[in-house]
Amino acid sequence: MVNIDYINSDDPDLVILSVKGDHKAFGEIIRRYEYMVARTVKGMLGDTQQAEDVGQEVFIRLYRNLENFRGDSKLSTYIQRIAVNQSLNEIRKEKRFLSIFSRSDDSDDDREMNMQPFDSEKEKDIKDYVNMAISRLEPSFRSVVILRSVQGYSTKETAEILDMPLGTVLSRLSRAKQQLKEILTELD
Amino acid sequence: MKEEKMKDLFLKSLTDDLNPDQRDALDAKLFPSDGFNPGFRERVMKVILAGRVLQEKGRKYFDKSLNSLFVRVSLAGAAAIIVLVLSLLLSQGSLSYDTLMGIDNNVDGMLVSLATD
Repeated sequence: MVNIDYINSDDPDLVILSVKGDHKAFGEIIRRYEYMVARTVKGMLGDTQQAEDVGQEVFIRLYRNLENFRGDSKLSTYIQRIAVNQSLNEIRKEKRFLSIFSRSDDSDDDREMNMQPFDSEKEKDIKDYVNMAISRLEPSFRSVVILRSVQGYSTKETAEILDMPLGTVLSRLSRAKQQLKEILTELD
Repeated sequence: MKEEKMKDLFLKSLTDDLNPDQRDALDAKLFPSDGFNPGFRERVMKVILAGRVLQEKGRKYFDKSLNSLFVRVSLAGAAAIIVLVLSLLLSQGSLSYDTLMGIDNNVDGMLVSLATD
């Protein structure tokens, strides 16, 4: 029996092994990208149980679609795309739910409601302010902010992950920046 | 780094590329990389393996059901043929080709008379 060094294996090798049914290889993929996915979904949805559920769904979808992964882009890009899309789906689902079960003026959903509220004055720090501000952005703006600022991707990589023109990403970033400035001033 | 500076750095990170020190400062102060709850990987693998096992069980069950259905249909068909042959044998006393085909001995004459009418 051949001993495989999963930790030192490249992503494409782990993908091939996972497709062949080697679940240890897929476990290694989860280990490598758990933190990356956590940052994206928590950035999009807040630090909630819902974010963890979406995180699980990201890897389950990845597993189901591994056979279709051709390696045209990096595995991390592919996973990021699933994470962003799953988070956006979750936001849409919740909006639909709220629009059915609440009055129209209440359904002006912000993910802010899923963010931990500030319990006291002393708990407010810059991290909370910034996360609160991000949560107040429209989901389409939030995704570019998360990828660019939280994950540190270049604008080109952000465009590739979101599968949209670079110009759209630049314009959304610029508008998001303006909105964030206003929100942060408001929160001060 | 002061909070106001962190805020500016965050806003800058949206449109400008940060140097590694700035990136580290931003990650440490604003976006620390804490993963999901402990045992996340195990939970995901459990779901995946449970799904796979179910899928395999489902496929095996389907194959088995299809096989058993095929066997039952063929046995019933064979039994029906045997019953038919035996009933013909008892009623006609022989198993000629015409008997098996259900053709009467007088059928040729009947056909000729029908054609000439």
